Amino acid sequence: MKRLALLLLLSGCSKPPEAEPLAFQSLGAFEYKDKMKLPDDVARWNGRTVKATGFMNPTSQARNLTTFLLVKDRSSCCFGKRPQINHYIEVKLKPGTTADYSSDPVTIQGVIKVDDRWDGDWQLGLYWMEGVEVLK
Amino acid sequence: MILALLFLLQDSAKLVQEIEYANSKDKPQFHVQAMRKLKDRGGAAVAEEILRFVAKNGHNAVSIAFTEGLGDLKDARLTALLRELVRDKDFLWRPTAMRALADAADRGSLDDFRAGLGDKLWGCRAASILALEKLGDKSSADVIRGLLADGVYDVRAQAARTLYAFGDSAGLPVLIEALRADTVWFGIDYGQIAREDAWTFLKSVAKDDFGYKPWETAEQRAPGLAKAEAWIAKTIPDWRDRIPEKARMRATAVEYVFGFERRSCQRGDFFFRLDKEGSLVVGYFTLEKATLTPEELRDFNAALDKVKRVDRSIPYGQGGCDFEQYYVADGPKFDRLWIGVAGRPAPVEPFTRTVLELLRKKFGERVAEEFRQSSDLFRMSE
Repeated sequence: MKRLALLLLLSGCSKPPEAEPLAFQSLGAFEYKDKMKLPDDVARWNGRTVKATGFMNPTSQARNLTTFLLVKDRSSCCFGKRPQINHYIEVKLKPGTTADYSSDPVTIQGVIKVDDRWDGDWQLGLYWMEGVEVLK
Repeated sequence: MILALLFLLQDSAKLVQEIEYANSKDKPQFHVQAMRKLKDRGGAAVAEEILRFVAKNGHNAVSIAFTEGLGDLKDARLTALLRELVRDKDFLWRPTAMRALADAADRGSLDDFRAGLGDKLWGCRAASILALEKLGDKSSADVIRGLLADGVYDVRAQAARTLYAFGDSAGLPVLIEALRADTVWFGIDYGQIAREDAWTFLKSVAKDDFGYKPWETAEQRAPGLAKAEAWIAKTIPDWRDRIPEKARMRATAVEYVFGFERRSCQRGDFFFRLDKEGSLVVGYFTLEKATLTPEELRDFNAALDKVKRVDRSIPYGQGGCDFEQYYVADGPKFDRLWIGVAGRPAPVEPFTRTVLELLRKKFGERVAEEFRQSSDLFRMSE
């Protein structure tokens, strides 16, 4: 009986966490200043498994993408508007998987890292997701 | 002494890197940062290095963000460079260069702005109007008044705002009319863009938002619209008669069977549809319609059949803000074929040629030319 309870407990532990819906509004509703401390309600997302919906900005390639920027609105994906640093997530797909560009909104799932990364004087980004699955 | 020299060398290398990053094709996320760094840095050395970069790499090596930021660098030589970019008909970002010149309100570009009112690209026309407003060039008011009848909303709206800044309310009816914009393009309500734009300006003029909310449904917007119309009628009783034909919003309950959308940061946009009755409908907010003869319709459909056979599950060409979308009926909904720069599959080419001919025949050389000038961009590279 004890063994069964332990098995049940272990199986419960190994179950991947349920993805939480993440709206861009939660990430982009503040004015970013260089190297600022990020607001708590943004930082709290770090390391959580999330499902986010946005538009793909594929930069120059359109097929077999392994990375892209997920941006919050259609203007930033497709009509030449450049997104603010807190208005996009840099997405890397699961190794071995690719996606084609779509002008429709897409939903992705993965673990988000909230991390203000710099390379010397150059800011690389704020939001990162690796091992991402494109759901639709 | 040596340390000072080393510092200078290092700083000069940084400047070169900032210019390269501002234009880098594979690091678009650095464009805005790089321009900010260049602006913070300022000074003659920045302008000199930029001129060196452009001389070496050519006009089309610069990014849209770089073009946009040139005016902020406040250097006469860079303003002259912007003028050069505007005059280069092959430059990819002419409307952006025109807008940057407009933001700089450069008096030395007055002739370019006046000429820009007749530019083929609507982005250049709109930016030129804004620039002439900033320069207070009331001698252009008559030409600007004529642009209240432009086929593109953004140009009409800028003309209305600029005339108002010149103390002339002639454009307000055009903006009131835009509150009715109801352009649903295959499921996306693009009319909202015009409604929001017009409303934002009108409420600042009237000091009243009319209780109108541009994002609501037509039914919900109706009381606010009535209030806005009552407001304009107090000062311009015949305001409805003053709306130029091209600025009139027409209710369309027409069903479309095909749609073509071309969005191009480089060359401008173009839209047309085919309705159920076999009419070709050109435009975005303002629609122009021409009925096709049975022969024309047959040719159109024959060319379209070839397009329909192209695999629509994958995109073609390069990603970015220049693309064509073909909206093909697939049962009750529409499926899209997406084509980026240099990606148009060969079976689509005859369709493009057929459409060009039809546009020329039905809508004249100007419309055909608008379609043609951005078309080559998408032709598959050899």
